[in-house]
Amino acid sequence: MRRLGDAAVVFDAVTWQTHLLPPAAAVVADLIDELAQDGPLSSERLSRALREELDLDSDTPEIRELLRMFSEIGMLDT
Amino acid sequence: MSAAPPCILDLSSSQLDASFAADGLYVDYGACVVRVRSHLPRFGESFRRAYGAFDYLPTADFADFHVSLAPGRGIRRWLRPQSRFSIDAVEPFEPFPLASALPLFEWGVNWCFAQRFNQYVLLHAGTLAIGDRAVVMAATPGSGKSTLSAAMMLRGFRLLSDEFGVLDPETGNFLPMLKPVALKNRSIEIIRERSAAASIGPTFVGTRKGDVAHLAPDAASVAAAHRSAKPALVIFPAYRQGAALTLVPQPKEQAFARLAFNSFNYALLGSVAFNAVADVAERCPAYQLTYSKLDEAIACLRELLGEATTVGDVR
Amino acid sequence: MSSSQSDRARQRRRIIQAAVGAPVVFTLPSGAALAAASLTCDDKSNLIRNTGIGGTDTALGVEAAPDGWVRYRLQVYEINPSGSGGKTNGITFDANPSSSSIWYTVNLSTGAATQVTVNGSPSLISGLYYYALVDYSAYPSSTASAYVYPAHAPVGSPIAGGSCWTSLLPTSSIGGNNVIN
Repeated sequence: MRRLGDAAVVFDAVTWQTHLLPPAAAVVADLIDELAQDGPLSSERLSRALREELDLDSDTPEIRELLRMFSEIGMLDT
Repeated sequence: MSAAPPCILDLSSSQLDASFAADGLYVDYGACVVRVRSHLPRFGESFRRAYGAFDYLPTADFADFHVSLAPGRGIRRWLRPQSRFSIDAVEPFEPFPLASALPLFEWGVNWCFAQRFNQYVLLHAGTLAIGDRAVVMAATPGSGKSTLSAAMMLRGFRLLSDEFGVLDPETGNFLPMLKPVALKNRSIEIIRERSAAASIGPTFVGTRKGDVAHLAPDAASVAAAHRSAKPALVIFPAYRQGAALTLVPQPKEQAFARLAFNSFNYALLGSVAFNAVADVAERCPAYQLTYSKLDEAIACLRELLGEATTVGDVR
Repeated sequence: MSSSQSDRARQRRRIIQAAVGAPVVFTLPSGAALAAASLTCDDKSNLIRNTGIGGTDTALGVEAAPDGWVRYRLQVYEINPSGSGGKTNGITFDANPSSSSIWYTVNLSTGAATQVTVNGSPSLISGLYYYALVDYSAYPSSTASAYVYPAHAPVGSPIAGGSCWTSLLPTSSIGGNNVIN
């Protein structure tokens, strides 16, 4: 992942796809990265962090889709 | 001390035709050297006008690829005569009318370069420089890239290429792929009227891209064909008739995406291209430039280039 | 939470709140630059200009087309347009396509897209894609039409025809899986 200002770009070495994370998505990616440093990340822990840190409800379709995308590109392993 | 080679303009058209028909000529574009042979009558005249400042090189140690121009086959050699382009004996295109041999040659060389030169990240962009500081102008529809590049060269910018941003992933610098600037339709007269110094070749009417003429790279750009430039500025130009000059900063991730989209081989090179383009996007300011007056746009770019730091500069 | 941690959290929330719509990940189309056949830049500009869409004026001496877009890969479906002779290929910007989505058929000779209504359920054609213009700034919006450039006045033919390769290739034709770029 490369940070470009507040945003980020990610190269997936498995699929060779390139992904753009606009600033809001990059913030979520940063949070996931920080949480993952403490070991495997449970869905509950992630939901709680999203709610407490970013005021994001992981139970909405948009956030579920975002997290699905992160899983698909290998940035989230729950 | 050996004498500098003569330039193409020092030779007559018939001398050039003879050279093409014999062992051919080597054309040094900077990033690559192409050996050119031709058995087309009078190709030398249009080539001379488009490549006048280039060195005349009947021999060279190496050519990156070998191209050839030949007449049409059979009756098409005389009846509605054709020209055929081949690289390493393969003809990638349909024949063109004989009268459009130079545009065919230009497009052919572009195609060959874009297909093969995957040791570089090839952006679809006009690239010019002041000194060693390069401005990269993404070649999107409506940008007026070629007209703007031509006008910039005539106002003192060094032309690296009006078609390719040849990005060396090892150094992060841009290399010249110095070719005549292909002007289309009304751009031809616009540039012709701008400068008496503009060396514009013949107009080829009714090609598949309209009327086309070629502005020869000037002597200063040719002399610097082996001089790279550091990226200092990324521009997404947009020509709008009558529009006031506007400059809109582009978020870095958008600059990255737009550069990556407008690349011939981004997807082919994987992480190499990813990092090379990210470096440019990260370190260079990027702007959407909307303009209607060439001189205003050029003055703006000159000022921006003067303000911008280059990749690797210490602030 | 330390003051630096709370500063960071505040900044992050500010970024989230400043975003238009929910956070999204945008994937660049892969293999795009390798497509060898597509509509020429000139043709696309003419198409947009001649249909009078988006208020694009012909530029003096240069071709003009709106640009502030990125290309977006769209899955191709087999659709049955109303009033047509039968099934054909079509695209939609809807992430969850149905017969009530906004559908387009594409003329592979010109790259022009025509909006159609469809009968029955479209069926996905695996591995076949077209590329369209996407207004990047509107992309996070959930409104399907916002994907089409420009979001405030969508062009009638959203197919992205301006390939790098069309700048180089002296011939113009459309074919294969990738309509453009």
